This record gives sequence, C-alpha cells and structure tokens, in this order.
Amino acid sequence: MIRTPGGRYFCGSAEPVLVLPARDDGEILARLSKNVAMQPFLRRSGRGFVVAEVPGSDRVRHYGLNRRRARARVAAGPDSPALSIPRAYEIDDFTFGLLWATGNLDDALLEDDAELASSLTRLDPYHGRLRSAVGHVGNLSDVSQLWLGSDFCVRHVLRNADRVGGTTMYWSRTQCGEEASAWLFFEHRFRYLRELSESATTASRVFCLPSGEVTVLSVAERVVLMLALALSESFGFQVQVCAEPEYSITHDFVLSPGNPALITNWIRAEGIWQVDVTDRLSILRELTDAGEYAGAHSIIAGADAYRRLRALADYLELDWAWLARRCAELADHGAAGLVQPRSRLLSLAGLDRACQYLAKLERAAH
Amino acid sequence: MTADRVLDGDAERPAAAALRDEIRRHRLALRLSQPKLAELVGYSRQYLSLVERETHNLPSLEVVTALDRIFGAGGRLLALRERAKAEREGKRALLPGLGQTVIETPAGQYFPGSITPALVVSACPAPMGGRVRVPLDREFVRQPRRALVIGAPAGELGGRQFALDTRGPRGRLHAMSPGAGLLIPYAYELDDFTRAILWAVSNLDDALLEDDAELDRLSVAMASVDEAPAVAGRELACDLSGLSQLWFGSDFCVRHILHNVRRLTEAPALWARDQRGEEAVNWLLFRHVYEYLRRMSSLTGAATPYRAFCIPTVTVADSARAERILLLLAIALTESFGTPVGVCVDPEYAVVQDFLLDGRRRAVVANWIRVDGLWQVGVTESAPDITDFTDASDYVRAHSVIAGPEPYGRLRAFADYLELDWTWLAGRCGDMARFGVAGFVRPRSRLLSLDGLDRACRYVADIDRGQRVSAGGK
Repeated sequence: MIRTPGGRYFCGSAEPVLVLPARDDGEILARLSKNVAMQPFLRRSGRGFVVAEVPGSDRVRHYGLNRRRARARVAAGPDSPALSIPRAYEIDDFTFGLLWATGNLDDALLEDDAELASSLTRLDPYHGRLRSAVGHVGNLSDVSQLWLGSDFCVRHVLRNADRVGGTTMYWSRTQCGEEASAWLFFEHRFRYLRELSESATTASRVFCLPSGEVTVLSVAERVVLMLALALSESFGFQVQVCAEPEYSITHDFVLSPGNPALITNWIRAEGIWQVDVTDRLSILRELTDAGEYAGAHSIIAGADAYRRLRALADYLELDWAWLARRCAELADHGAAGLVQPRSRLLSLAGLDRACQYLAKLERAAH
Repeated sequence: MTADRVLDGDAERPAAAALRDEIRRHRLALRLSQPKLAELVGYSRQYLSLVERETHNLPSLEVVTALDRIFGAGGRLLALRERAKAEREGKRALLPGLGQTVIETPAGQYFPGSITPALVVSACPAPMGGRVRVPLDREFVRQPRRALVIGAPAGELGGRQFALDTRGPRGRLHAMSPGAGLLIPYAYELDDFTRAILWAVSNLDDALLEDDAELDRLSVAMASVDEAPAVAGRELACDLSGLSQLWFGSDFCVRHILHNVRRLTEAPALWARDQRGEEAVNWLLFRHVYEYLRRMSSLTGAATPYRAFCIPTVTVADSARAERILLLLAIALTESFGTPVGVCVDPEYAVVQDFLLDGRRRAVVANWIRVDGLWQVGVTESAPDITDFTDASDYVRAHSVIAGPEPYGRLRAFADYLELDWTWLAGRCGDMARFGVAGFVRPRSRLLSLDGLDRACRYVADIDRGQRVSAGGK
C-alpha cells in the first residue's frame, strides 16, 4: 500500500501496490515473467500502482505506473518479459505530493458523487444573484464542500467578469497544499483560469502565505503549492505573495480600478460560501489597501515569471534545480501514466501545464 | 433460524447431501450401474462414483447438466447443485467473526466482483423492536468509502447478522452524542436477498465511478441525440469496463427510443433481451432507465402495453440465486408500471433484438445487450421486420410460462420458474420496502438510483398483501 496522510480536508488515502523487481538499463524495466499476481492485480478496479523496485548503490528507488496505464501496456504487449516505466515516475517527494492530492480528492469526490449532483441542483436558484450566502448543502465531506464552494464561487466570478476590467487583482486565501490542489486539479478551476486569461489585460494574483503556515507543510505539500502558483503564472497572472499573517483572514476578491469588487468566500469558509458584488466604499478601500500592500511587499517580487517562481521556490525551501528537472521529466511523459483521477470533476490539464511551464521557463533561462 | 435455512425453507437437509441422494435415486430408478451411467454421460467411472460420495467438492456443472438431462430431471439437479454452491459460499462468507473484515461479492459475466470493508460488532436487540443496536465506531464510520457496520447479536437472534451502510450515520456523526449507538433494522439481515442487492449495487457503483471521467467525455460527445449516429461502435467506448459499456449502451439506446417515441398510437408490444440478473440490474438501478419507464408509462396512457422476455431454462439453471432474485425484481418493476410481462423459454427467441412495436406498423429497435461491436438503434416500417416482431410478441402472449390475468399470478409463476420461494421473497421485499434500500447500501454514483429497487420491493410486498387480504376475505 502507498498510504498518504490526512489533513484539514483530506482523510488520507491508501493505494494498493504491486511491487515488481526491476533494473535500470538506462530505462526502468520491471520484470513481468512468472509473476502470477500481475493479471489479478491489473484486472481489479480502483486506483492502484505497479511499482518497480530498483536496487542502487546508495538506496532503493521506486517507480510507479498507475494500474490503468499498466493494464494498457501489458495488454499491448502480453508476451513482453518486462514493463518499461518512465524515470519521471520515480516516487519521491515530487510525485508523492501528486499521489497524495489526487488520491484524496478522487476518493472524496467519487464517494459524494450522487450527493454532489443533487447539491448542484439545489444551488441552481442561487446562481445569477449578485449576492448570496449558502451554508451546508447536503451530507458532504470537507473535500466535496471545498469543490462545491469552489464551483459556486468560480461561477460567480465568471458570470460577473464583465463588471471588472483593466488592471485586475485577484486575491486568494489559498495557503496550504490541500487548498492549492483545488487550483491544480479541479477541472472547473482550470477552465476558470483559462477563461479569465482570455479576457483580462493585466492581472495579478495575490496569495497570502505567512512563513508560519508554510514551514509546517511537508515537502510534498509545498510542491503542490508551488505548482498551483506556477499554473497561475502560466496563464499570465503575475503572482505576488504576501507573508503577513494579518491578511490570512482576507477572503478571495477580484478588484479593478473604478469597478465594483467581486467577493467570493470558499476557502476555510466553515461551511458557508458567500459571494457578492459590492461597490461599498469602505469595502473597496479595505480591499484596495490590502492589494496595494501586497503588491508593494510581495516577497517574490521579480520582473518576470522565472524570477518570481525561483523566489517562491526559495521561500518554500524547495530546490529549484531539482524541481525544474522533475517538472521537465513529468512534462515529457505526461502525468496520466502516474496519476489518473477517475472523477470527471478532476483534471490533469493544470498539472501538466504547470510542469510544462516551469520546465520551459528553466530552459529559456539557460 | 440461520440465513441459509431461511433461503431453503423447503430443504431441511444440506443441498449437497440432497443432490447426492437425488443422483443415486434417479440412477437406481433407471436400474443403471455407476459404470453404465459413466459411459452414458462420458465421464470416468471413478469420477461418477465420487458424485454420489460425500467429498469436499461439488460435482462439476457439466456433469450435473448431463445427469439432469439423462435422468429427465427438468433442471431440479441443477437447482440443487446451485443451492449447494450457495450454501457453501454462504457458510464461508455469511458469518464473519467480530472485527474488521471485508464482504466479497463474486464475479459474473459482466461483474468483476466487489469488496466492501465491514466492521462486525456485537449487537443486542434495540428497545424499540425490529432492530438491533450496535456501538458506534466513529473512526470506521468516518472513512469516505462504501463500508458496512455489521451487528452480530447473541441469544435468540444468534447466527444472524444485520448490516448498515456507513454513509447514513457518517452524515449524522457530528450530531450524535457520546455513547449513542447505531440501530440496524432486521430488514437489513445479511442473507441471499441483501447479498443480491449488495452484489448489484457494489459492482455497478465501482465500475461507473472507475470510469467516471471517460463516461463523462463520451456522454458530452454524444450529447445531442439528433446528431448522434443510429449505430455506435464499441470502439467508441473501448476504454470502458464491460459494466460501463452496458451503462453507456443502455443510455444511448434509451435516449434514442425516447427521441423516436414521442407518442404511441396503440398499446405497444415491447421485447427485452435481458436473460440474467446481471443484465436485468439496469432496470433496477440505472437512473435513466427508471426515468424511461416513467416516461413510457405516461406515453402509453390508457393503452396497456406488453413486454416480452425470453429466459430459457438453461439460463435459469446457470444463474446464481442472487441473479434470479434480481431478475424477478426487475420484472416486478416492469409490472409496477402497468406493463404485463410474458416470458418465453424457447432458446430460439433469445436472439430477438430489443424492440418496441407500435400499432403493428412501426417499430423502434435498440440493441445493446449481448451484442458484439455495435449498439444499434433505429426505426423500421419494413413489413418483414414488423411481421417478425408481431409473431414473436404473439408467440410469447400465447406461450408465456408465467401467463395469468393478474400481476400476482404472473409474478408468483415467475418466482416458481426461477425456483425462488415466493413467501420468503415477498416477506423480504416487505421488510426492505419499509426501511428502504439506502440504509443498507447506497450507490455513490449519480448515474445509479435506488428508486427502481425500492419500487419493485414495495410492489411485490403490496401485491402479496393484496392477495392475502383477498384470500382471507373469501
């Protein structure tokens, strides 16, 4: 089993694993012949991994291929004595973060599939209103509530996108890997970023990441956070990071000069999502102040995306060279051979794009 | 009373022993020696001698089929073997010990088999009656997955186990005070009835969730019926499991039928290819099929439609009890919508495709069960087609093995045909109808619904009660 931990939203996941002896001949080749457990393992449904175990002089390395991809590979070459697994799929802190996020999101969203479908129907009357607050819809897990809240707020912003324009600031409350995984894997968030990027002229996106919140995160979680912010940059949003803990309570908002503000509250919202379109001066003043402060004090300030993301990696204490190499490897092969969410509400488009983008920036810089 | 005793109300002895004795009785009645019989069925003497002896293994399906034919037993030996098999599986799996375990359901033609985590805990009768009370294990219940809490009481209820889906209590965890327990209705006793339901729900649910993203992609691609082709190749859905293909094919055909049947001119004659429980679960659990039945019943208005099935004896003999229970419930569901059902047993009719014959002039054809490569839908007014469909439908009306003027008679006859104990089945349906299937096991996929299953249970219970009241009145 590959077990991943729980957290504020996640319950922890367990992935069944079939370990195969393997060798590294320039490519990772897992031995298939005489393995009686292989076919029954591949036939089973649910998530699962074929893991190639390669002994090395310093340590044993593991490379994973998800069950679906392994099944397809074995079916394509049933007599092949070995299964080739891309080096990109080495199970390390980089990929463990991806397994952790996709496994926990996928399990939770599928578990609530029917309940989510009926909750969406119940939320229908609220769409189209300028202001609404919706609390506790149905019997949903924390992850499903995060998804439903995110969906509710994404629709609000897209529906009202024509109310903002010019230089636009998007503020996000996202602070941890679990919340960042929404940006990276929720299918509606990817569409949202794409649609906004097509309409906005100049846009920045502020994340409030106090060091006290960041240092407690595992490397895997920081990788997910890093990739989520890289995804925003890839869509042309200039990312800024505000490290002041006082701004942690600021809800998500969209602000542009001379326009009303769009307010959305889906992260750490305690089961009540609020959306609003407001031109109240006191609120606009407060949001403008927060935005100006963050813009002036971003701890990852830089003239271009490469510099900003490198500074972010430093702030998150991630080794940039390692990160860029792992992104390039994964971008070459695509994430789908490693992690493949079953839920239609999840997508790997964001992850693949973030990896491609980060790898491209690194290549261009050299 | 143990669970398998409930299921075999007519058999006091283990079915394996009854099967051995029956084979011996038939052989002696025909004055055949074991070597002679071995010669007739084409098996070795040694193997045939084992068939009449108490051994660890049951005789193979092939040899029992051959013996049933030679003895002219009309499927009785096959049924006994099936019961013996169920008893053995049941004894191995029905009564897990206390603690964490899993409830496995077997694989079938489409079903890959499923595994449901379970926690077996001591239980006691609840003061309000009709239920057992078990302590609440919050950690087990909190996990977001399909899982069962199983209460194992001692005393009078000893030997019986009652199961509850953790999804219901999971949603109420925050409101439950410390020390609060869970109540599990007797209706949720783990027996062949509930195992059949668990088998169907868990296998379909797992398969549809596994393919959720792919099904969504395909559904979007085929969203418009007007633009969708009348023939869809399975290569479209080659990445899907067999069960998801079944769902997709069914959805494809149902949408086409509804698109082509805006109004019916006369009482339509319908034909369904479902032969086995695995195929029939689509009636009971696919959300779109339930909606289709509702729409069709509103379209037919005052006219009474008629739905024919072809379910040959050999298929029944080869179907596990769980499958036969589901098949009966599926047909009960059809009857519940005011559509009388006829069943023909002639295997020749097994190849007839699904059709809806409207007024003997026009037919909508939809093929998705047991078809290789293509799902086909279309409308035909060709005279040979209409003649074939009319003749097939008329044949079933004239030769239905469950013919009868009332639903009760037809369903009872069908239960007899499926070798199911009607009294037991109607009782279990009544139990389940009172509490609803959802408390026992609830599908997670939005593509499934328990409306059909609940309705079928309620219908069987209602017509049985109605019959008893009417018999009592006389």
